[in-house]
Amino acid sequence: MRKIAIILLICAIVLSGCWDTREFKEVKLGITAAYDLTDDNIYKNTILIPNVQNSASGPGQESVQFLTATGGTPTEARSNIDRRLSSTYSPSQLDVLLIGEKLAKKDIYPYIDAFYRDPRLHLDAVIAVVKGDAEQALKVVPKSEMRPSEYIEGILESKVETTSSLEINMQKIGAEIFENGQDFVAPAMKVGDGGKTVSYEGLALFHESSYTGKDIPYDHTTLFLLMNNIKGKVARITTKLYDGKKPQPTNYVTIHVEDYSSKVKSKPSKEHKVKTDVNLDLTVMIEEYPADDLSLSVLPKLQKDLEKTLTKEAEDIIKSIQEANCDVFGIGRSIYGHYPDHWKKLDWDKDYKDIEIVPHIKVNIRSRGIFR
Amino acid sequence: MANDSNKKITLSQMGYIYIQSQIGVDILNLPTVLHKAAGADGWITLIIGGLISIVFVLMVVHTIKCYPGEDLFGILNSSFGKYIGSIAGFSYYVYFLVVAIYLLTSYGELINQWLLPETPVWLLYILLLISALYTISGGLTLIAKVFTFFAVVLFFISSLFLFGLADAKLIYFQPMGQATLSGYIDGISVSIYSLSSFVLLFLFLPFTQGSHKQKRRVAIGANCIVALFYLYTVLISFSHFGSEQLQHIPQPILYMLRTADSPLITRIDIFVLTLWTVFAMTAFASYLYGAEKAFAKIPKAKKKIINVYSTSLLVLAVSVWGGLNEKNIRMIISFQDRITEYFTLVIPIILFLLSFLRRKDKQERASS
Repeated sequence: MRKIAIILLICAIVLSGCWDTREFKEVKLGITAAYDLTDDNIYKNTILIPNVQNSASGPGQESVQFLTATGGTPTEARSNIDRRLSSTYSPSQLDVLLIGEKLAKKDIYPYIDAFYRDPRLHLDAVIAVVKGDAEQALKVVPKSEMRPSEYIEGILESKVETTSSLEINMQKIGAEIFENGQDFVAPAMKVGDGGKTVSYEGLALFHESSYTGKDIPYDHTTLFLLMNNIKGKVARITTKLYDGKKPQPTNYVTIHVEDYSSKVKSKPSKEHKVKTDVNLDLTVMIEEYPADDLSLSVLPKLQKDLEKTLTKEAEDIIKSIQEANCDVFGIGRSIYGHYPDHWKKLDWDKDYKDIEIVPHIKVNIRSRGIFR
Repeated sequence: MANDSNKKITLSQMGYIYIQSQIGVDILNLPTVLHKAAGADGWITLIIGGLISIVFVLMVVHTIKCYPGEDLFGILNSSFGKYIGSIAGFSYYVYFLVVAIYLLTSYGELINQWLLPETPVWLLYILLLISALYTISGGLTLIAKVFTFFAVVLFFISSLFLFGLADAKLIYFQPMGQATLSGYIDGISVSIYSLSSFVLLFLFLPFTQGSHKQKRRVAIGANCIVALFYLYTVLISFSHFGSEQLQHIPQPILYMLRTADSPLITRIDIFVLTLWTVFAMTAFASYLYGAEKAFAKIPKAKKKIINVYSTSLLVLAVSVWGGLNEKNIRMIISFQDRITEYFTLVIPIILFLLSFLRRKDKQERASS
């Protein structure tokens, strides 16, 4: 009798299996989502759901499904989407979250709060700002792509490798949203070619959790990221060294950054309240020099010119981030960390625009390639 | 537990028991609690608290040395006399019960929030209770073996925390020294309470083989390991989250692993949480064991099995009440906080001081 009871008990525990589960077959996974505000300021959520049809030779062509719904909050919009699906929609595997310009300029935090609060949701999604309507960008499906659902994610990932964009997800910006004296940037995108492609446009500057409307343009992103101590697999900068040389390309040079070191140091100063030095040392290889007479004697001059032009570009970048009031270097946090007494005297939202940020860029040309 | 007294555990087993009973729920929420108390200086108060806890370990070891062969209840009886001694013994029973209830409800709340939202919480309690009961049913030697076996998890789990360093920023430790004096005191007391399982040494140390010097060394070593492990988790979560964000996150260690991605495991936070249940179980089992031993002392030790069941039923009943809503859980936690001070700090200090009197007593008797 006792034995039977024990066996029954063991069976009940071991064989019953897990029932508190969420199975893949029961949910539709949204891979990409777009959050917009309509013209009447109503929140609108569009999602892309990939459906892979199985063919004889592995997974075949992917078809995608778009669903749009409005609602007071993302979760309400989600249940409105659910009404049109045979199974439950789950954003738990979301890879990319596109945010329309209009919504981004408000405050993005209320719309992404659910991601922070619900343990079932992954915080791994990349956030990107779309100039104009995010829904439109989401609906761009180039025919040549095998996996339309991964089109935008692919663009963003490849830009990280070439140091034009940075790795960003909701967890990473979390600290910046909450912390004073620290802001973040997110990739900006735009629909181009009459709605046939989506292109990467540069980095959108945020202040606290709203988009400032200003960007770092694409051709400055690499330098900016290097100053911010971020480098992907490759970093290449093409810059216009001279004016008025003919033919046109000889004004330019392309450098390949092999190694770099960057340091941002801030200290209180009398005239501008805070003085920040951004030091960037680059070890580069000349990758493209259309002027063609790259002899050893030219190098010192080229190096000087490069340093001058890059410093000029860096100054432009700094000017635009200060105008946008986006403290992406975390200068405020560093002042608060090292000089807490000085920090108390500052009104960072106002004073940040007036502080002095000086770039110091040093270039060391290591190699000129195999053609002299 | 009659055969416990002749079966003794080894020194290293004692060390493992100590480590496993210390690391319970606190490891997950300690960074936030410390940060609320002392701001960015929380890790400094943890170091100070760790040093103070070593002093307490030394006091406990010394007290045990003065009463050879006696455990907590024996010591209480010989220090306070039979009458007050048994009252103190009974209040320790209550204390161990409350801590066990606290551990069980916190465990249930966590698992319910993070892992199994649809499973009724009493079922989670029962599952943990069954495994804990099974562990302590075999007496101290079995506990020692199980806890030693599970010690591997500690190293495994701490290596997984390294994922959090990916986004760490050192600037978040600055500015130092901004906390007020009361903030420091709060932080230090939080740290000492998080290391408060040194009271359990009263139960384990008398049944350990080896000289007093060796026991002291192992106890201090184990205490240091736990303190350093806490420091490690606190430092990682402080540098990962800025101070503002940390205020909103009750379990920072799990939270920061939400985005950590590895080729083998997609959600490391869930994985760590399942590993952590081992710590929840071992800590819970230790206190349940303590409560059961205390209960056995009150009505002239009857059948062991009844003691175990009545104690665990009591724990379960209160936990189910606590699991009804968050308010009840907070009540249990604040009650535990209030009484912890007396049982982990005040009584050990009194016992320590009384042990000197007793020694004098002995010497006088010897000389006369």
